[in-house]
Amino acid sequence: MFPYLSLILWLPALGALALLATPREQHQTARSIALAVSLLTFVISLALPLRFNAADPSMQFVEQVAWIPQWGISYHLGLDGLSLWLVVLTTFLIPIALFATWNSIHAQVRYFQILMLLLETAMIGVFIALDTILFYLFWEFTLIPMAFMIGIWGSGNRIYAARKFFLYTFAGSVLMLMGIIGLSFLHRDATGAELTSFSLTQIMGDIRTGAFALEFGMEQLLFGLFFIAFAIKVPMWPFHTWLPDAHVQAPTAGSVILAGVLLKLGTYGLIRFNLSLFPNASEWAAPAIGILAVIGIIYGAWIAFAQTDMKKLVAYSSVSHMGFIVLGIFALNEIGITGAVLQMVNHGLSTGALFLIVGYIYERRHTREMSEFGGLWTVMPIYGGLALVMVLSSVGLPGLNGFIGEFAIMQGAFISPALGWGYVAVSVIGVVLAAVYLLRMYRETFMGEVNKPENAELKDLSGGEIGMMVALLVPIVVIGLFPTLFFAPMQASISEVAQAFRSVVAEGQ
Amino acid sequence: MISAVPLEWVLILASGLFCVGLFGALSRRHAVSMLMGIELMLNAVNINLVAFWRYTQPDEVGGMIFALFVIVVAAAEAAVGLAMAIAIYRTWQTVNVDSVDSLRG
Amino acid sequence: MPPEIVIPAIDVRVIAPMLTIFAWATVLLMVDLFMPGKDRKLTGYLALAGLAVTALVTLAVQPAPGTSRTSFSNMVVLDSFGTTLTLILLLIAAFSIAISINYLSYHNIEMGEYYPLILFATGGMILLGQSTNLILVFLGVELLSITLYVLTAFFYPRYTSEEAGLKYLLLGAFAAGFLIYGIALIYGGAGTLDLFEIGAFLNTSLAVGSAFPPGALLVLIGGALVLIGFCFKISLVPFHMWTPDVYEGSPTPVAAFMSVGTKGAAFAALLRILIVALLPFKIYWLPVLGVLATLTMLFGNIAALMQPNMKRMLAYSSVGHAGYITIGIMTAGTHGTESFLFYLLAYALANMGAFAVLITLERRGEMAWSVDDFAGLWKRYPLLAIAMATFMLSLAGVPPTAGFFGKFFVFAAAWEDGQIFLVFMGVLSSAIAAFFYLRVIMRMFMDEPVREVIPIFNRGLTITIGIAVVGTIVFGLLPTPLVSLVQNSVIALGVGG
Repeated sequence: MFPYLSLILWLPALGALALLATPREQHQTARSIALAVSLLTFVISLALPLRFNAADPSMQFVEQVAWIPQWGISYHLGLDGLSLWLVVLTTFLIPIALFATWNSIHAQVRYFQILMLLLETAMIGVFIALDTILFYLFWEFTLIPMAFMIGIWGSGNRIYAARKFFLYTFAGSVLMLMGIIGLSFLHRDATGAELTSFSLTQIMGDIRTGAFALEFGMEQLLFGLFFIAFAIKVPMWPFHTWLPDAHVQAPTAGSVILAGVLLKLGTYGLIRFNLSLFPNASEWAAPAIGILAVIGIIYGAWIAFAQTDMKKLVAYSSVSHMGFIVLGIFALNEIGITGAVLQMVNHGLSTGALFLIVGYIYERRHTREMSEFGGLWTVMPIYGGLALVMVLSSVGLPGLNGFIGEFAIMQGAFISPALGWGYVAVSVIGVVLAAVYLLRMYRETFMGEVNKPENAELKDLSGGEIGMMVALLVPIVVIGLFPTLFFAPMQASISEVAQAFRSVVAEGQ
Repeated sequence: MISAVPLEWVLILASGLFCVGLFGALSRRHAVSMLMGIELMLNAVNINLVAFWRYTQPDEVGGMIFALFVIVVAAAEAAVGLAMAIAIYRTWQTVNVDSVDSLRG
Repeated sequence: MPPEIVIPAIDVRVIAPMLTIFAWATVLLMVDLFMPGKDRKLTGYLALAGLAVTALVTLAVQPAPGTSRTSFSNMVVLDSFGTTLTLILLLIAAFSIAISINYLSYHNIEMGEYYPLILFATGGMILLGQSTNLILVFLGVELLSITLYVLTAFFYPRYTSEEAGLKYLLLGAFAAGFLIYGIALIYGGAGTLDLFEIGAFLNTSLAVGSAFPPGALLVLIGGALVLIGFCFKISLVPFHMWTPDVYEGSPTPVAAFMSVGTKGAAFAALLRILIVALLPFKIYWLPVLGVLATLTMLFGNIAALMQPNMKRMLAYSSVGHAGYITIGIMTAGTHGTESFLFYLLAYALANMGAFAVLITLERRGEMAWSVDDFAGLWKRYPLLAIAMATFMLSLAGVPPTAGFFGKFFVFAAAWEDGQIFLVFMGVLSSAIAAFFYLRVIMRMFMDEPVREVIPIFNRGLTITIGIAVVGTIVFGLLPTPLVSLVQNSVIALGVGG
């Protein structure tokens, strides 16, 4: 079998190595190489959905090589319906982000591209690693390039933001390391194996067959250790405070990747680890986590509403949107989790697009205050039109992608025995608020008369910028019109995750 | 003679000497006095070692040999310590450890 | 009637590594005396050659995995644990000498005695790692301590160096007092100084009756005093006060040597004492060491947070690391021994590297080591900044560095031993530690330079930094061979054949 996953995983890292060999001053060469490598990665990754067997719930494209055999740690990769679209999303967003830096990053260009490619490897690695230590390795390694991107190329209070980003996530992940260690030793003792195993598939399989049953108290502890790590990454209220800082200071490309992919690592981890490994504890914690998610939805929307800085507004809207995704996950049923996974992709696309939109205007005017703008539509009609579509996608207009995901999440939460209609009722307020603050932003900046002389002469989008927007627009529309295309490959894997809860629920009734 | 003086007495003497040395090392601020206190501690140990050897296993040599080692090591330590005290005195014009205090933080 | 002294059979192979290094050091001392001129670099290179020869001898006499050799009435043992430790210590000594060669002449303290002293100290460390008799443990501790007192004060006539030397000597001798008083009590209680026999004595005497026999009580008190003595040497909180002062005052290569070498050797000896002799008392020393390890990790890392002085920061960070290593040796029954060795090597690479970077920035006659000197280093010396960042990440335990696997193995060993609370305190304190390691990285990469700093490179420093970076990253990505090595390094629990 052709090692697709290894190729996709290591190609960007190899590209980064190649970049090290390019001359420091030739910015254009560095940009071109990085873009070419990431585009190539994207093209290869398109083979994944094409060759993916949607009927098979187990891992596909599996590669396994012994790494530290003494501890049962292996280089173990695989892809299932849960990670398929997230990998493609990653490979898709990286070239866009790299292209977005073409005219905005001028200092130490080569290193920026290197970090971006390393980040791509790390993020893909998180999605396809099936060994907990390998997962942890990639998980931690996403921190370093991102912190550097914020700290070196960011604006204003960049060092503070980079430090906060790193330390928050690091504090969470060391707890996860403890959880990983504990899980493997408990697994070893329960199954009577001689060696520890850090293979996720093996531990998961033993949990599903009942060969590895955790004591409830221990399950709660491990659930908590993993949950804190992922909740900080998502970020869930009240762990969200690093996010606005990081977003506001990060360069546009960094924000796109941060919102587009990095936050998804958290929600992916919640499904892959918390739900799959600790079904009983998930059941136990779901109502409380649902409340945190709903608080996040309302709080994020409320704070976003109060923002005058467009980037901050989009950043807080992320807190709100990620709350929806967590709500869908902890509905603990197929429809909710499916909606959540789709919404992860949606959020990556539309929020990434919104950050680009803010980035375009920032490059032209070097401000993101809404009061500085007005009537941009008349000056930049193409920009205005594309921005409108992206805003509507984020709001959740039927026919575009956001609607499908949010609807599935609501439905899942509604029929979920763990959550119920109360959660849905409150989170609907979040949807309404999202419409209010996003449309208000659009109205204040694009509608009305041109009220500032500086804005009258602004150039509309260039060909490249339009190209990026269109590239993002295609999946947004396709998901909105043909959601089944995207749902189908997820179904089998997600129903296997949800299976555990159906049995628990059935016993309870 | 062994029956006349029980082992406990010797041990009490040694621990008393150790405590005197300890007190000296802790309370004195003069480097040489502190070294003297430490020497007392080491000598208390020697009494202990020799007593244990003589009372419990006079047929083995371990305890006695150890006492010899301790004496040698104590001499080496004192040699280095006194050399350092002299060096300090040359630069600082004092060997009071409270005055010799430039490192802090 | 004086006891009859019988000369026991001697197996020279057991002490061959020590014998080589001591002989080499003695000869080197003589050679140096007759060497013309003021340039002492040759002595340094000869010392390096001596370390290489010792390493070869160590490899030549190494026992087959799982077996061990003893000699001198079971006073010295050569097991695979000792061999691995010796090799790590030799590497540390080689690094220390490599970074010293130009340092000494640059700072006008070039004297030939420096290198034999390092060799003697290394020999003491090797002895400490191999001895199974409390006399030799004491001898090893003193051998390395007395040489280090001299090395600490080597920056004569810089007054901070002398002060550091005096402080180190007074506290070290003080701790030695506790150590041998404890040893004497153990001798009185158990009637022997042999670690194996002490273990056997405790096993039988504790098994006999329910009452606590007085002999065992004496051993318990003695063990506690020995522990205090060692706590000074490995600078566990609250016995760590000397550490930052001594590190700051001593020549930087010596501080680097102490921070890893002394610690490694003292921990190895403590490990042997705890596992071979005092294992029946595990119920007593486990909670004590647990509390000390927790305090050490928390205090060391929190104190390092507030240090603007890099050398002191590294000193406090080494205090913090002593806490993690303590966890490793506490759980030595399971995977602790291997985690200790792995951690020691990972820590040695990163710490020696960090000190080497510090030396490149150290200026003649200055004693600042301010973290400000690292500001903006990335812009002008990107490779140096990347190297330092690698060391900081490894010390913080961020993958993909060797430091991460070190922490992972230590925590895994602790969990396996049932010390879940310690694992929690460990991960908590490594989150705290990330603060100050990250601060250095941030200053280097994201700040503007505060003042003009011109690093001084030379061959020894470059090679040391290079090896340390490569080792840190390679063992972080591919720790497998090292894991095999440490897993085969079992400690001899009985008198081997």
